[in-house]
Amino acid sequence: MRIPWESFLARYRALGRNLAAGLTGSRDDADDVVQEAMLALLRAERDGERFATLEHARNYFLRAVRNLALRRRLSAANHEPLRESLGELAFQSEPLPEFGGLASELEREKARLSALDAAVSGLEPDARALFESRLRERRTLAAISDETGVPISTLHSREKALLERLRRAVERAGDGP
Amino acid sequence: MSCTSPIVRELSAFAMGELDEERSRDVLDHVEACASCSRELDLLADLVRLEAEPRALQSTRGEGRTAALPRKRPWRWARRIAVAAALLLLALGLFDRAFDPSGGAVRPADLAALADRSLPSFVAAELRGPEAGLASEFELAMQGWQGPDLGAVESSLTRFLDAHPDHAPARFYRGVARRDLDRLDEARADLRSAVDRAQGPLREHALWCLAQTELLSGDAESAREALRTLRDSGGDYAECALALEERLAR
Repeated sequence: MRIPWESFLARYRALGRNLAAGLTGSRDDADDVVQEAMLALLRAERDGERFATLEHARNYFLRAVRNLALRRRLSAANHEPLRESLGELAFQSEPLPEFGGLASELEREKARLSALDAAVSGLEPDARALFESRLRERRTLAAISDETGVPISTLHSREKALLERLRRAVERAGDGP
Repeated sequence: MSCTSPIVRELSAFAMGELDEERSRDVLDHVEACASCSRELDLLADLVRLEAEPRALQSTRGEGRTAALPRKRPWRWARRIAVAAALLLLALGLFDRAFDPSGGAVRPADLAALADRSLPSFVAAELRGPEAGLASEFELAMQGWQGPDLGAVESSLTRFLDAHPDHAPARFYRGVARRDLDRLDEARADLRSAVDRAQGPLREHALWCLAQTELLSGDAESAREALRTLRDSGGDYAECALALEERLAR
């Protein structure tokens, strides 16, 4: 499988940034780490690595994010751009490869995100409040539990049910994640 | 089938960057082996993206790369004629009819598109009535609500309602189950019955689900009636009801 780079980057960039920011403690470093991880993935594919599915490529990317974030945090020479030590500078000036099926890929992405957006808009007030605290205000379940007095196990259950609802809404729209 | 591993609880924390290196590695190990959590992670990736990059949806709503392609200039005179014609039709109140092959009648498919078929959140506190024995019997009937077999839950709720026909939460949840099983007429009857019997938040849940079910059935007027009642109640759903009423009006 060839990686559909444009949609892959769009879909996983924010997730990778969150993961890297959590591990490095810096949003700026996180941006660098995500870029490095994308370059590592690109290099792997160019070196002949074949990913059977998009999930395999995603897992490779997330592992790269995690490892690079840890290396960055542990590196004594934190100011030294990691990409230089990896010898990946050459990739930066090259355009990302084109991928086939652009139109259908964009259509699928459009349908998926629209369905998700609609499902989020249609959440009931209590579910909506949890969603906003968690994703928009970036508060942990422990913090929400402390403030509201709702046991954390209940919040876990509510969050699970909320995600299940959203997933089903997306699947009903015809293109599950 | 959904995953029963405790790692499931860590997925959102992973997506939000809240886990340390050990736990993030555990999540990655698990996701590689678990299709259910892999799908969940993709959903979280989309949610994180929607929140972090609000323009993502906007850009996909646009025309993608075709937006950058050179376009022919539209014929200005043709556009002016089209706008003038539309204004004239609007003035005559004929715009909707002119573009609606059914002659202005509301189409059930359009109404169905306005309905949200998601199950309401499970609010355990609302399920507990004054009689503890009855409540535990009801909770027994509700086992499996979060699972995949909605038909089994509908059957167990039917057995429960045979013994306790006035139990409003059971009416409500059976109505929702029947709605999602596409048994819309039965769902409407249950949800109306729940509205009549319930009070407070449960009544609001029931009214909201009733409005959705009426929309799925193609009955716009009944949906409006439920939404009006919900709006006038001034509860948590009032804003949602008003928004949906406005969309219906359009």
